[in-house]
Amino acid sequence: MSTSSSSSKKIVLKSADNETFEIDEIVALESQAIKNMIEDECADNVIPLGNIDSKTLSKIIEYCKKHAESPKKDDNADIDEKAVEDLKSFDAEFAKVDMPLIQDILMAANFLNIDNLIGLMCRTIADRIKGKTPEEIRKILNINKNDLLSPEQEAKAREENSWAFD
Amino acid sequence: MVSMTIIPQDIIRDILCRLPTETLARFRCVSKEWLSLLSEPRFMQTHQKTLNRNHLIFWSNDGSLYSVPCKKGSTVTKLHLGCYRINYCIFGSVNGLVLAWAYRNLHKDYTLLVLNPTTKDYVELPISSKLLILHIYNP
Repeated sequence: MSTSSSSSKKIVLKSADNETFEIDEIVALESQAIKNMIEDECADNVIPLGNIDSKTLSKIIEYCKKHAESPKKDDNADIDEKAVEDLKSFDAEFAKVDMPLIQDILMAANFLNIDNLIGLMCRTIADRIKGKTPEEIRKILNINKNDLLSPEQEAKAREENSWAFD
Repeated sequence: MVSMTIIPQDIIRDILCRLPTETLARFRCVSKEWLSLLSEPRFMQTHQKTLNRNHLIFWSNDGSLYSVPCKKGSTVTKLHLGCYRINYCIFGSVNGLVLAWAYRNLHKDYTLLVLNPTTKDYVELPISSKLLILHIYNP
């Protein structure tokens, strides 16, 4: 399988706070957006990511490295289960960060178009908000205060769904 | 990026699709955006298909109906049916509703009940006892 070697092509990513990260091209290709840029030959030596800070970007790179090194499902029908398990436990550990960082990673993964990572972050958020009250959700996900229901509308919504509030 | 991130709607949709129906019912009063999103028929269809949400329903010989998600470690929920007793026949289900044959304790006769095991609601169908053939279809 494809493992990174020192001779492989390098890509440099630059974060919003001007930190640069040199990574193997194979790692960068985990991002569909970067892949498109490279294929269309519109990627310079350095790809500036003006909306992703270095803390978020280093997490994204950590994820892409691990996933680039793991055998892909569609390459080989009988990849060993150990590799699948290994990747699963990596993902579980990876997601053990606070909510603001989860949301930043999600936004960055969405911008860079990394499907698996978007899925992982959505699953993580879903798991964390599952047992929460509407009030808590508003706080956790920064729901716009101008978008709240009027007291009458809220009372109606609660009444119609009263079975779910018991 | 700062922690005041506002998540775009298509991603909110992706997150909500992964939650159980009961949680979504509660989340309808989070905001106007969530209420309208959770009321979309298109969202409900996607939600149904996203995860394995199959439930098994069964009745016991005391006439009670029980529902349990087809997932490891799920708990069984009993549906309280007041004066009705389910009697040996569940005809089928469409879009989360279940049609069953029930005995009415008060009238000492049989009737058809439409049940929603999720909301634990049920209504009696106004049918004549001459009804013979029954078939469920999904329009």
